[in-house]
Amino acid sequence: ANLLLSEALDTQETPKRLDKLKMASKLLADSRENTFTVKALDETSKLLREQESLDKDFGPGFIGLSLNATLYKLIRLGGLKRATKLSSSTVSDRIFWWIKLRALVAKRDWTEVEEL
Amino acid sequence: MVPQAQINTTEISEKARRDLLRLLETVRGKKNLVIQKALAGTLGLFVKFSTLQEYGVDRVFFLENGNIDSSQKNVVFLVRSNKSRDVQAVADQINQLRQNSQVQHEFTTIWAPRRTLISDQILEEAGVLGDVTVYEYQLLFVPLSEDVLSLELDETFEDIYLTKDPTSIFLAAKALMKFQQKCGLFPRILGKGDNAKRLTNLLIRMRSEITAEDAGESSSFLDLTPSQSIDSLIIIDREVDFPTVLLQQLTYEGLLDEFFGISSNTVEVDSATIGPPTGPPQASSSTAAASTTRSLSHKIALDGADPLYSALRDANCAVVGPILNKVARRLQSTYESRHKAAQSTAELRDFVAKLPGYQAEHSSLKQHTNLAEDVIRRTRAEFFTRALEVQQNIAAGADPTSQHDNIEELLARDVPLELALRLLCIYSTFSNGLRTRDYDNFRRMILHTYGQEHLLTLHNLEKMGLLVARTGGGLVGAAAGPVGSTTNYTVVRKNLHLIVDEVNESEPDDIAYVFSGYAPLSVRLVQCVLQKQYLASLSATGGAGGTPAGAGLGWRPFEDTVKLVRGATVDETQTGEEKAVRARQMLNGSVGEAGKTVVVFFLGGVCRAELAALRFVADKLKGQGRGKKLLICTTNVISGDAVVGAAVEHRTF
Repeated sequence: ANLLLSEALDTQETPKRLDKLKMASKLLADSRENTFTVKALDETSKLLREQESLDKDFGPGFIGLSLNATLYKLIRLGGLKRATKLSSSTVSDRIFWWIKLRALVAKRDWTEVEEL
Repeated sequence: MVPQAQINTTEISEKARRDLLRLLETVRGKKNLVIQKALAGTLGLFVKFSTLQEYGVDRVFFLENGNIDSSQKNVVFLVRSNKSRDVQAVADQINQLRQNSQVQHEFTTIWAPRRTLISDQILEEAGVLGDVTVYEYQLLFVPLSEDVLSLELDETFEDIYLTKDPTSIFLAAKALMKFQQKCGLFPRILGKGDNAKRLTNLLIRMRSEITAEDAGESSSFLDLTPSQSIDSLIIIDREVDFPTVLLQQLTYEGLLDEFFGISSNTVEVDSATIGPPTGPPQASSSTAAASTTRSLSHKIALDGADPLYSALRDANCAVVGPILNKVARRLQSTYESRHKAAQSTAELRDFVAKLPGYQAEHSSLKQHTNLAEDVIRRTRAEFFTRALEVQQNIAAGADPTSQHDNIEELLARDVPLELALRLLCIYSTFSNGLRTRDYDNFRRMILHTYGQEHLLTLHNLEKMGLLVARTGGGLVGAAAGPVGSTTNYTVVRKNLHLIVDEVNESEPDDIAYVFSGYAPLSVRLVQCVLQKQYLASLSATGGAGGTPAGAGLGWRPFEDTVKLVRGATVDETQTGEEKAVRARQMLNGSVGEAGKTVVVFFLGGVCRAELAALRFVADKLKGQGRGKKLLICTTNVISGDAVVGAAVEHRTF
């Protein structure tokens, strides 16, 4: 599975990457020890898909970022609602609060900062 | 019979230089030299470019740049052979050069430290082996300063613990074997850690091989008698003590290494931090601003012979300021004394004669003041203090769950990946792994903050045993896992006094000063062998105090504690043939304890703070008047960032 993952890193196009990730996750799904890895792999492909659609909506540059960096960039570009939706399931509140704070300060959006 | 030689570091660098130059001489005429970047710094330690020029080197290229031109007929490659990717690079460049130029080139490759089967094979596959003259250059130990020898294998850590490649162990054994051939056998080998065990076995095996070879010829058992000048060899496997490297080093040299990276005794700094090299200090604010825009990096040689630096390097960063201040005062007063005292011409001449010395001191003082300022500025940064707080609490054995919030916040604020990983690894190594729930939590956080590709990074760390989930589900700090596979820190911390609450940073009285309170386990182990009384006095309960110190006792009376530390324990006594021993004794008379050297070998790297601590131990031994000397050998010098850096996945989605 690690091999597949590193292959996924090497390929450039998103759909191919998704395929590889799915294969890796399937490979591990059978055994019970690897639940964490499987979950992480699934999250990865979800994130990639999300980033693809963000690229269309907000302009390029999302693909390849980490989840937190994606959220940060999204808030900076004014997509606070969407970021909240994206983060709701996975990111803990405290961390999301920090991301929001940093992004809003970087954006100089003081009214929103006050609302926190 | 010649008397057995003492280990002399200058001799070793002298020999390395001679060997290299002899090899270069075998290639006739002018030549272009192509070297690996990593090797260049190492060579710079003992050979100057001008010397190379005298031996017909026209231009020097770096292998990595791939920009050799065809200006000379002879091309010499000087490359480490243990990585197939480097060998491949050599082959590629030879082919490229052959295609592009009309001149019939003559190629020579010099493999350091040895020619391997694989390197030959790669060259053969590339179709160049027939056209290349191949030499071996036995570059093993390189002295970094008068008491430190290093193999300068940059990737040992990754090799041994991640890819489990034993090459470095083999090379280490080779290097130590050379030692033995010159100075006689190590009378006793002590070691800790599985790889230390492997190294010892290799050494013993190599010894019997040499004996077997010699048996046919005229017997030169001379080489195989126990050494008179060396007391013992202590091998410490890095695996035994991961957390020490991961902790933030707090000595001056350690901090320089952490912030700027020291390689081969030179540190590369942005010239803005150093300030303009010449010019009055008043103008420095404006010129410094100018140099920031250029942002050139500046190389500074850190020379152990410089009295100022040797005073500074092992000091805790808290006292660097005062030391610099004192030296500055002294210099100023000498400068001023010129006006008052220097009246007669004789005195004046005397002063002028000393002037270059003063000037050198002045400029080195200036450099280090600037460096220290920058270092101290960085240590005041919030991230640094926060991370340090977490580290020290964990090291001191406080309940690590209390640090979760701190770690989480640091992660949320996007601290550098290496720092975050170091914190987690320290946490994991000190408490024998994380609870499964915390482990998954932190892993998810890392992935979210730094990117999903770090799934591979985490996997690597797990493989190295740096960041693992706790098995067995024991309580925090409870002895989990079988004895010998993990280190039981709660007990060891108490028995070996790893935590010293009251540290005197300006006049250190214990090695714990290098981490402001935590005494590195690795060095404590060395102390177990060398300073038994001292350790016993530290612990009122442990150990049978009053036993005369001396390596003759091996690990006693600390076997029980040492057993709790991860890895195998090694204790081997090497004796030579009885006849030879007796002959030598008759010739040399009995040599006392005085002047014997203890060799400490760190397999897998050593960090600068540990070096400082070991120097401190050596000073203490000297102070006791037994005249034992300490020689520190290592595969390379590393820092915590390098340790976790070995695992980091660099590609991104």
